[in-house]
Amino acid sequence: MRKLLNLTSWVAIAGLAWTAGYIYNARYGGELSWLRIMYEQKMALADQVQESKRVLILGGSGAHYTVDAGVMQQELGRPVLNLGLDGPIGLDVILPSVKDKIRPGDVVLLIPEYLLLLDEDGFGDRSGQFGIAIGKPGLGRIPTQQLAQDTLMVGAPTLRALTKSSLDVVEKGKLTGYYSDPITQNGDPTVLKQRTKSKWWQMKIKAPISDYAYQRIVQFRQEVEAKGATLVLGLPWLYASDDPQTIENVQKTATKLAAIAPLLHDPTSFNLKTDSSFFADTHYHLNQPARRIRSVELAQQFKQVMGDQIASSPINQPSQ
Amino acid sequence: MNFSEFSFWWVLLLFSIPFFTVRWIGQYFNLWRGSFDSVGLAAMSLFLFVNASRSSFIIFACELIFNYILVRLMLRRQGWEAKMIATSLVAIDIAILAYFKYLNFFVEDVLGLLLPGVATSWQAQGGIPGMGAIPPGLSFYTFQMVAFVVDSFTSKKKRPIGIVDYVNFVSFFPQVVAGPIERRADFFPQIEAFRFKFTLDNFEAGLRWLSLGLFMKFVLADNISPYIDLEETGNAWLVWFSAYLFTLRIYFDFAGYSFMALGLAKFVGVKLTTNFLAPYTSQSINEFWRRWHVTLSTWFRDYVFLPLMGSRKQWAPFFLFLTFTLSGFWHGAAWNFILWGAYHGLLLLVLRYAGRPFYSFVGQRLFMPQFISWILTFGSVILGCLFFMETNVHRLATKLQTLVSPGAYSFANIGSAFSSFSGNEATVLALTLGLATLVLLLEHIAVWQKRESEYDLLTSPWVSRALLALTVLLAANTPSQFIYFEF
Repeated sequence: MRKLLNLTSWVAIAGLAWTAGYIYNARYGGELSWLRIMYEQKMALADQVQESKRVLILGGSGAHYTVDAGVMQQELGRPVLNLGLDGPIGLDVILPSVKDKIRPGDVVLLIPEYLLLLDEDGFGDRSGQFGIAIGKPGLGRIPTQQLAQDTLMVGAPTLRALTKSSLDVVEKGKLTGYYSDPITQNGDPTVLKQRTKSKWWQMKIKAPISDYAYQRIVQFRQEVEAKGATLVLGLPWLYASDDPQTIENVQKTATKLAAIAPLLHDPTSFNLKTDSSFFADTHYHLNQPARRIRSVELAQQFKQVMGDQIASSPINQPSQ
Repeated sequence: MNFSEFSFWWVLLLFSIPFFTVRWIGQYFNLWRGSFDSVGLAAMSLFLFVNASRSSFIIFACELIFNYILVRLMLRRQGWEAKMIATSLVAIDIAILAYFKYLNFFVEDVLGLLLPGVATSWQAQGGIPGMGAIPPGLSFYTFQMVAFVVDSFTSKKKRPIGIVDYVNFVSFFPQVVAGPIERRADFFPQIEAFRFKFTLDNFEAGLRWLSLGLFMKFVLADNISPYIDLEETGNAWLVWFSAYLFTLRIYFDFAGYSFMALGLAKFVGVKLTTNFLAPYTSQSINEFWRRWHVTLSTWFRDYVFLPLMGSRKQWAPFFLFLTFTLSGFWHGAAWNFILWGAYHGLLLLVLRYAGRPFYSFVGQRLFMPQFISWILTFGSVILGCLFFMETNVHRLATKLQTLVSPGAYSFANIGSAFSSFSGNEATVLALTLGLATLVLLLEHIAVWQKRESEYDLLTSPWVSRALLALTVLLAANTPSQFIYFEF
């Protein structure tokens, strides 16, 4: 009996450590927890806005830190919500995680980063853990082995993360994370991080959209239309090289995306920028003036593509 | 097997659930025979090997079948016939190893020195035909097969061996890829009488070793790994510091692997050889090699050094040096590994001729001679690790030049070394080094107290449970490759 208790104590100790790790990672303190909190806030905002003619902007952080939904709302005269999340969640998890919030009459504007467009299986580093953190394990039909591994890892905080959090408490008096800053009533970020240490370099796009990503977006269009909504796609702004290979791959991507749904982009530059002064901390995230320019441009492109529908739609202001 | 990959544990689980369910049902209805356990273990090991690398498995399977047939033949013959079979088999095994491990080095680095165009055209055609890298585990299972041939040849009892037992001896999943290299006398009797022994004692013992191994690998080795800077050549403090970090990393990485293997084997009731005996507590290089990678050291002693020396005992120092240089070459087909082996061979010779006079000199004139011996030994090992970690020979030469340049030890370089880490990085590193020091201290205390095992304190009930909890909380989420998988 004593031996059995000894063995049980191993399970109990591992279980307690894992639970502590889970609480830190997924509930409060770890990077995943801030992402979960941001997601839940955005979903709550989507519930609050009752009007049917909403524009919902989806994508990774390349949507979250790129678009100013407040500016677009002023330009379009209809409620615009920035529901951008985080690229490493993966296309297969991002799309179903916001699907329930789509209502008839909505226009869904998906602006996927190339990280998502080039991905071969729809999953990223945070796919499984994000599903677990928001209480929907297996979201996006993540493979069983990956889900098992992610479930194990969601209770493992790492020395690096715990040290950062401890120093945060000492230096700032609170826990912080990349996504821990408050968001606006449109789901926009209130704080933009700037690049500090690493130098800029121009990104190259070495392949066009993957077959998998193409098929998944085709399927998403069907899912959106089944809800009585409309899908519109957008190319992200990217600090990139203008080498022929990158341009060719981006052109091919644009052509394929345009075959799925109306595509918002600059047909001359394909949204490739060679001036790093537009960008904040990554090749996708824009600084404040650039976000405004980008959002006005998006609104204009949106009007061109959706002009008739907008003209026939009543202008609704969000009920906030 | 790569214990740091989730797929290993996943496949182990996928195999174990149906297999042990069938076994339990078979036992319940009294249909299960003991020998089925051996077949199950063989299937488990081979299944895990296939999952790890299909191309390597084909090479492994061919070698396994070939060795089994010839060993069986050898055991039936006497005299010169048996000797010829044994000699041919050992030569073929070593030739296969040499083909995969040394052909690239021979063509690019040796022939390339004489004929400069050869290396380029060889690289252009992709190196070794049919294989881009050394098949995982090749060195370890080849050494185990060679030892088995020799031990079977010299054995007085020439009993035939069963195929399943031989498969289990060579492919036992906890140790097939990176050792410990087991010997016939210790391991084969356990394999011949193999039965899964899932006792609570075995689980308890297995978990203690497993938690120590997991902690060493995932918390210590993997958290140290990102701080090892190979690029720095001009700042002597940073060159030493990186070598010191690598010294810690390689121990925690490889000992961690070995202890995980030990723990997994204990789960199924098999006792493997303890491959590390607290090597960083050593007070001489001689002692260090008795404690570091024990099964490889004894393999080289029994199958290289002693046969090479034969009765020429007066030449023992030369053969010792040669054996260590060969051991270095085994670690990797590159000049730095040869230098590393020769360096350790040289250290042993220095110890042999100057060790005792130096120790008595220190004992008479200085305080704590044991502590000074330990410092000198550990310092020599750190310097040796510089040879081991730096595969770029030109950069190695620059670093050695820096280490002997007084100007490279300036105060400005100390400041530069400190400022190379951010606050967060420095704190993570300090915490990791604190934990590493604590582990080494517990090893020192166990050795000093002459406990039953060097890891007695670290595998004690509550320490090992605490290590498991710390592993869950502090493990790095990007595990680095096991260093010894490259060998």
